[in-house]
Amino acid sequence: MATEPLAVSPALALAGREQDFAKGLEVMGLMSDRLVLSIAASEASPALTNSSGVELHRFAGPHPAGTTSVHINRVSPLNKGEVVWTMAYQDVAVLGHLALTGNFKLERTVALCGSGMLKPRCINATPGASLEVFLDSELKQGNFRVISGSVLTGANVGKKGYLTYYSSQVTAIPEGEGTDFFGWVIPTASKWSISRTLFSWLSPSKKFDLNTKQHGEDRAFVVTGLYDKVFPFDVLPMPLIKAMWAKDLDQMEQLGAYEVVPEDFALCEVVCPSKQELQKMAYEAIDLLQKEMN
Amino acid sequence: MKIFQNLFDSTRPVVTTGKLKGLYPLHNALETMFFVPNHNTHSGAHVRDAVDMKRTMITVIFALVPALLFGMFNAGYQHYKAFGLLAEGGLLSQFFTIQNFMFGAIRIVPMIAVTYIAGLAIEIYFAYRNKHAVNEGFLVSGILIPLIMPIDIPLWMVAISTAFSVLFVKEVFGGTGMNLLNPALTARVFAFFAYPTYMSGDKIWINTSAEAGAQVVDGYSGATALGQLASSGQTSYSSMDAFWGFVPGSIGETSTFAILLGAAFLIYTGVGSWKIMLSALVGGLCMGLIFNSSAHLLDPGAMRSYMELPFYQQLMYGGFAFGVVFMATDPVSAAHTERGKWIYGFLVGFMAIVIRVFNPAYPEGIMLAILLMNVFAPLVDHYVVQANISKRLKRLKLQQA
Repeated sequence: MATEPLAVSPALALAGREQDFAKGLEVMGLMSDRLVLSIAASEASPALTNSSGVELHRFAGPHPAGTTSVHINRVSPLNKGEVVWTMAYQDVAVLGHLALTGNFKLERTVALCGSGMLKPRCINATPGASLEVFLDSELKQGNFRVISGSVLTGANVGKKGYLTYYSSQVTAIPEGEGTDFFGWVIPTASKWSISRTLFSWLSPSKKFDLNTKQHGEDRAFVVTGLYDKVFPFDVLPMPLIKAMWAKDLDQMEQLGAYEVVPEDFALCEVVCPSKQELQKMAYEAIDLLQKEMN
Repeated sequence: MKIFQNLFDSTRPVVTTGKLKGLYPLHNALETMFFVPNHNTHSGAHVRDAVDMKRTMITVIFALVPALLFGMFNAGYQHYKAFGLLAEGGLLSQFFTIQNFMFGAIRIVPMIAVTYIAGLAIEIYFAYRNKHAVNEGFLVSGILIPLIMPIDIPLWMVAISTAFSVLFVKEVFGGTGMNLLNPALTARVFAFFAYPTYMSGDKIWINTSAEAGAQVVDGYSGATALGQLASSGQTSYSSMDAFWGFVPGSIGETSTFAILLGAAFLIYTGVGSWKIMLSALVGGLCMGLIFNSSAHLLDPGAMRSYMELPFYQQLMYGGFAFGVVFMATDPVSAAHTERGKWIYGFLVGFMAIVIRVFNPAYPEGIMLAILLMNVFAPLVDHYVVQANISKRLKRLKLQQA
């Protein structure tokens, strides 16, 4: 299931590779005694819905309903010491293709998306491919940020970058430019916000051409309860991120650090009015936890 | 706009590398006030919500405007009423006059200015000393403090109270976001306990500086409704007057209606916690009901008749509404967890009514109730977090069993 902004639809990405995917699941079944496949509630593609030998779970809702952490938490919450192996659906097809033909063919369906693309569409590409080769003819004129991955969790690789291993989309959005005269007082409907302090709530279906502006400076944590609105499961995001920030490993462990990955804080980071770098904090803390545990 | 940008650009070298380095936080604060800086995201999510701390704070200030404007009219209204100088006519035509408004504005605007100067000077000094940007927390405190002061308080007292609360409640703990107590309420409490003869009693709530030839009308009493209730169990102000706000009291607290407008705005924009407001309301009503149903156990007297005050009227008199909407919801000093907010809010409302009725020396129960719960909020949070932890441990045990 893919819920990240502008992600490829799994049915589309697997079109023509149904057999590879089925074989991949079969191979995975040999390696594990419990195989779980999470798909969207609305998923109709037979390649996914008719999979055999798997425990099928359906998920519905906006992002982060499609993230692995949510699926694990809902299906079988992770406890300390337990290990869950996960694989993206396109990689399952790669595995299946390897088993069927003996060829290790990493090529996958990649979405060219974002307002900076001339013709947003899906292409076939191999991780590690240079973006420079084809972006010239794909990008609009102007100052765009090229992200390997989605706007929430992707890496800013630049126009001369490469497709990173785990991403199946290349997003281009405009870089923010210039200052905003009294931008924090003047009411406007042209900026997006989860709160109703601006006037964008007047047009709920409006599409925004989001840019990379941070819309403010770093501040201390003040507002509470906002993270809880976008955090999908029963981990307390604010206490956990504070424990992570303080590198308090005991507290992190108790609050569920084993159940999250840094990407789970992406939405918290988006809505944070204090503009804190939550994914970075989480990344460093989980890294440290891993080092200390091994 | 270009003029301002050029002004900031041309003065920047002086405060970054030049002689006036100490003024950099001030320069930065002013510049970011005029222009939201062109910072782009450099790690994590590439797109961000358009709301920042400044926008959050200004939203609270917008919500305070009805109470502030009403307070200005009311200051004049109470003054002219005390001297019997109101024109003939209906209440509304007596109340909403330019004369009333000007009388209030002339006294309240300087109070706001003094509060901002005293508070921001300290904030900017600490920003310079600790090398961080000036946080926006005081934007709201600077309006809140005058609104919970009586109209007749001298400006120097406002300045000292503000300085005390910013220094000892905020900066000592590490600045914005780290404080345990609500800074605005602490300023009020400081004034209340440091100048008790001045801050309590009947003299302070209505400005009675007489104009030439004017005389206070017969039967004039400057006491607030809560003051009267505490001493006699009766009040001369009807609950509807208290709801609309035509009563003496702290500047911004009198009109429950104006405060409800602000509350609706805060809840709708998502800035104020509706959970705290609702649970405090429920807490207040609960305690009121308990008093109503147990009043007959007491001997007749002031306290008994105070307890017999219909429970919903408890919420209209005094600063209950203002405290619940604007003070208890301060995200830093309130409970931080969502479940904790229910408990915290309920106890704020509950304790406010307890204190105001049982302790006639402190008619403003809400002020002490919120500060008390501020102190207990980390404890409430601790247990909520602990519940989350033990849920996880239980799951682990089940797994291992």
